[in-house]
Amino acid sequence: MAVMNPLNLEIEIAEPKTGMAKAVLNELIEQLQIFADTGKQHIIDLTSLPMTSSDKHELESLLGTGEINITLSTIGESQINETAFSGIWWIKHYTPDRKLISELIEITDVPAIIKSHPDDIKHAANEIKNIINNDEQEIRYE
Amino acid sequence: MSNNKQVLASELQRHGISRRTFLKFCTSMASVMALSPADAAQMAEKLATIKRQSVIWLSFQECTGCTESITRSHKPSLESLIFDFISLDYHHTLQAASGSAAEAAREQAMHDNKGKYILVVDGSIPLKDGGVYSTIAGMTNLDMLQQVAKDAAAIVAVGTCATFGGLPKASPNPTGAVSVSDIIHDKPIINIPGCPPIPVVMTGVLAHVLTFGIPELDSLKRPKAFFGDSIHDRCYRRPFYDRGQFAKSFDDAGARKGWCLYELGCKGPTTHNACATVKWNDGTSFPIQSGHGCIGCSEPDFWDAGGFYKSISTGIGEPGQWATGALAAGAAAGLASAYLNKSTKSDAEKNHQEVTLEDMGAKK
Repeated sequence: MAVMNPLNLEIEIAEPKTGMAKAVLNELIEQLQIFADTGKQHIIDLTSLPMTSSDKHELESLLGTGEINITLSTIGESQINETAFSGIWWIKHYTPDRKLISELIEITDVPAIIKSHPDDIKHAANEIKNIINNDEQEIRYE
Repeated sequence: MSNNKQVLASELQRHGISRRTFLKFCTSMASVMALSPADAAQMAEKLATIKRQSVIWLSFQECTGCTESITRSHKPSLESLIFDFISLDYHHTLQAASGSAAEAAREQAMHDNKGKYILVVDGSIPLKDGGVYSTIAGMTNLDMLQQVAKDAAAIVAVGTCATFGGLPKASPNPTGAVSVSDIIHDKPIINIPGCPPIPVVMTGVLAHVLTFGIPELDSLKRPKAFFGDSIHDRCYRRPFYDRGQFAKSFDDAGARKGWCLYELGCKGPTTHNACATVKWNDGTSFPIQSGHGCIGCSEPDFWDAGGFYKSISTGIGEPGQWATGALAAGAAAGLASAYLNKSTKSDAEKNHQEVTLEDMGAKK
């Protein structure tokens, strides 16, 4: 949290840890077990948990970084990273001006957002057909 | 206002927005709407199939703050997309037409979409002296509300004025201001209080109405998704409250450490809204994060409920008016499991008794 002092210098004050990181870890242990046993996926919405920034840093460093880092380039970037622990994915969605709009931990093998949507796949086929048709027209006119 | 048969999915395709992008925004929307994050995918699928919806927006005794708020949902996101996708057939501040042409547009929309349009109202309705204190095109607010509400599918009252009377109703209420639900009794009404309401709460409720129908409401007709928790339940300063660490004055050592503002008059424990999670100004901050207590602007009669700087424990207003039950529910909610599972939450409410302010360790 930044505050202004009378000399207009920005001072960073670290928000204290509240114990939330450990609480989330306990939920992760339970949900990993459930996913391993039943295949039931789980999502924790970090955006709506009462966590301080220090809590979040603590949790992030405890979970570490894993083998897969995916960047989704859509309207604003998204970071989809597997943590050091298999099956635990940390997902951050940003707006174009790099504001974090949602932050999730997903317990799954592949987060749903990575997969291509059937409608988009259908649309893609049509798009390619259009390209071919346009090319043929151009050749005819030449 | 383009083709009414068009569905949102084709609009997305036309804008080159992939369904993956759409899912991303539905994810943030689900978070805001306190839906289970796992429901985001289902919501994305449903929302993609919605048709263009006619909306008539009536502004009565108000300051235009609600409209300012909804038009400032900065995120180029689902909210603005939803707002663009609805057919806003009448809104006298935003529409290009004016005078009799504007009123004709309203009548046309009412006729074309009879029984199907959504009526949005901001502002309270003055009843004193025949309602002369606020008129549009020579028609009193009361007459216009009754006329347009008659064939509406549902009414969404936005802002504390339309929902509870708001500032115009503040003592001594010179215009005899009342809320929409004081007048209309035969239509589904959704109340979205706040002075102003959070932009995404307004668009989120519209999205909910379009996809899943009327959302689950509390006793004050507020969508539980946004108003089910108190500010206090979701406040990042809540752990300090639980530890009994309170700021005693503004800018004292405790305040600088981010301790709880309860003793400085924060109305977070008695105020139901989503400020603590959604925040304001593009998610930048909210009053408590800026070091000032919540003033309770989304609760009925907040203006007359005692001083903004008086602690709740000193007995402001009538305690019965304030929902102390929420405190019990908040305390019952586990920390990590605080991720919003509505069924779990209502169980918690059932299984826990109300706490009194004294139980909370408040000073007399």
